[in-house]
Amino acid sequence: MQTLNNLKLSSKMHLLIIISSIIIALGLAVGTVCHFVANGFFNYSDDFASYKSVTVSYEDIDFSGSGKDPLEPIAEICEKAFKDAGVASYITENGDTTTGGRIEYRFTTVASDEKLAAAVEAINAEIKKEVLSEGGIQFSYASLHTAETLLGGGKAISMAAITIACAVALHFVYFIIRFRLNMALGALLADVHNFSLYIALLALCRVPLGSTIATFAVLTVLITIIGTCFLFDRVRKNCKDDNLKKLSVFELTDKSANESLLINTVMPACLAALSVVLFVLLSISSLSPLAILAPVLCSLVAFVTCAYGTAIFTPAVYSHIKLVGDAMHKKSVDKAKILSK
Amino acid sequence: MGKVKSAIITALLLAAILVLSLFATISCDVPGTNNVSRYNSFISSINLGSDLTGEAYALLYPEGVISVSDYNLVANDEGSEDREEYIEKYVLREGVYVEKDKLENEDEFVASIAEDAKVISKRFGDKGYSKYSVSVENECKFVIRVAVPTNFSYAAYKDYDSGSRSTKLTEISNTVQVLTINGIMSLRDNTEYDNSNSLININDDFADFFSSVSYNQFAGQHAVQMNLTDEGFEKINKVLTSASEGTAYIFAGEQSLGLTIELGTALEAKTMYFTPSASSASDFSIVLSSIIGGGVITNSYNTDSAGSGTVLIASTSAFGDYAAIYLLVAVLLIIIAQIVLSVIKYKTLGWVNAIITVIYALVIVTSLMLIGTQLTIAGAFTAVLGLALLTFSNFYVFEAVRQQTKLGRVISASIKTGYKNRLFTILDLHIVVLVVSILMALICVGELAACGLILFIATIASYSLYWFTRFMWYVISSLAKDKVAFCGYSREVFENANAE
Repeated sequence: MQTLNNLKLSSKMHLLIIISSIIIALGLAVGTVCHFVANGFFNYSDDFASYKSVTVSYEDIDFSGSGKDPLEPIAEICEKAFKDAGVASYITENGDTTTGGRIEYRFTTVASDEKLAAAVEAINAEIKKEVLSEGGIQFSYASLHTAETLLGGGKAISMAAITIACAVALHFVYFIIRFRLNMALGALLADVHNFSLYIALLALCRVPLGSTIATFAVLTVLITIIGTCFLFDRVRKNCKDDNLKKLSVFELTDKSANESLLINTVMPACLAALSVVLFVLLSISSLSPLAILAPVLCSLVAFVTCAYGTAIFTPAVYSHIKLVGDAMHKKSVDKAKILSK
Repeated sequence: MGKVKSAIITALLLAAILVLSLFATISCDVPGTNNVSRYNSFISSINLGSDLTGEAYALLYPEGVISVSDYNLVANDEGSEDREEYIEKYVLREGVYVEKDKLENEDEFVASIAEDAKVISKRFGDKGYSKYSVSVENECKFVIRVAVPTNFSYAAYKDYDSGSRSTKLTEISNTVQVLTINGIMSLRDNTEYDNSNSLININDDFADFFSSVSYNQFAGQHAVQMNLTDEGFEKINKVLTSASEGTAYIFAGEQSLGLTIELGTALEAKTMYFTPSASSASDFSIVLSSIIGGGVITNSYNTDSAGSGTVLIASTSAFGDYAAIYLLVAVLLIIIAQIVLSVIKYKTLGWVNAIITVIYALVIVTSLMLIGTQLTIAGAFTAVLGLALLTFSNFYVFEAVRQQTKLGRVISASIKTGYKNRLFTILDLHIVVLVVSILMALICVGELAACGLILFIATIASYSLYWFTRFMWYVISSLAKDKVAFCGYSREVFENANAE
């Protein structure tokens, strides 16, 4: 647990700021460019924006036919057609109706219409040729649609943004009351840094993201709040210790960061481990790997950001905030002394 | 505490945890019922989100548009009386059959469907689903797709609890039908639209009589609260007192909502309360509120003969059939890892932490089952975050006690000082998280609001169990001879001092 003390991360603030700034700037730049020329700031999935879909409706009124579930041959035909056409769906849904069923493959809006139309044509031709001859299915029809999702995740995003703003403000005010102004500033910076990093990394990834992006954004801020509570509690306690008071700001912050390192890295690591385990397990049964990737990626990015931001970046920047704060305080005390004289 | 007393309390607690764990996790056929009745465990009765049990979706075909399947049912049936009419009347357009008449003003028709979708979307948004979508299919532009979570528990999803499954699908189907009601509000003298007359002056719009409509739930009662404007209050009283007796029915479009007002008596207050069934009250208030706010649907949906009724399709989750099981396995792995870590680090005290972890898991599972909030993958992460909060609060205080022990204090004094030193840190932490969870639950919508509620429960449980850990530490350590070894601590300074 001497890692932080040995590396003296608190004195490497400039390096950490450069790393974070580059990632955030790149993410914002990519997101902004994509907002105008591609699918949006993030690569939005169906929760937020339009999507293209190929839907195959089928009927198996004559259930006594081959006895085979028509979904399987239809799915095989569809997947082959998409592969041949060079398009990949990010989500697949299927369901039964009273007279048959429906399977839907969704694609991002940037998927080529020509390729999708070719796939639809191939599916219809293949279904006519292969499946109908086996009996059991009375009718099957594939069609290409472009759907515009009207709300779904949109409201979730705006409400999550309000919650994050309220949480950050509350965090700041609470720290001013219970801790000190310089610690409150450090906590505010941690919230803003971690949130920005999370947003930037997801904008860079360009993986189709659903409404979970909002959930993990809130969780990012929440884990940051928990982490800063532990970090600044140690700083507060160490500042009161007569022996530790003699240490420089950097040494004191490094010591405090070191004491809260276990919590600030292991907690996000546990949640990241949960994401990875879940990803491995879900990939066994998932109909579409891209569907799992989105929530797992969001969670991994959130937890890695929290671990880096709270355990490494925040102590480094806080020590400089404290240094500046102490200098200003000293200056004002000196000024007051001069005035009193 | 005496060893006997300690042993009795520990045994009772462990027995209670074991029994509760069995009820929480084991589902089985109830013996003696010939396998007719089935007991579904707490965990299999938790409502799951669409990422775990899929979504139910309905395709809304406006009047004049039918699906290819519906068309074929009639057109391919040579004995059908309507066959010729269908062939004559409909034309195939991008996966649906559309009446030729409707295509004469296609742009206007398509625009009206798009407008309807916006109103429907707003209404579903007000319903507060954890996730939902309302889509218009742009290529053919004639079909609206509405998708909501099935809200199935695992038992319902796997059809072990077919009653609950069909109840939930019926609920969704009813909601879709009510929220897609088209037309304006009216007050009529008969429950059947065709045999009724409007009681409102032809120059007045009944919706203008109201300032707002809301849904109220209190003490098991579900009510639609309709607030009249001053002008509306006067006008409706004129209508009510102009007739000597009878009943007035509130309609949305051509459908009576079953909300009635007695004629012949003037209203005393500007607020009216109606108490329809629990499942309808919320839907009715959303529709009425939407109409009052100008959200009127112009087309009627799924009313054409062959496509009558809204077919609800329960689709599988994109994560596969066993997503909920895999999520459970992943969470169990994290819990086991946490227990192993605490036992390695704190020896027998680690087992105390393990008992607390199991109690936490039981509290969360039982709360989720009782409250009925939807558990999604993000919700599971939130519950694990609550567990992390509890575990690290405990570890944090264990370390403080270890420091005190190293200074040479006896274990009881170390525990007292350790808990005292960490009192405000842990309190600060839980207060901030609790307030954020309340913000999430109150401000956010859908999945995030559910996560907020889970976090609220988790934070309360974490703080209560933090103090319960101290009690259990006291109780269980009473059985141990060497209380320092019990915690996996060593008194280095004290021993060194003795050596010197």
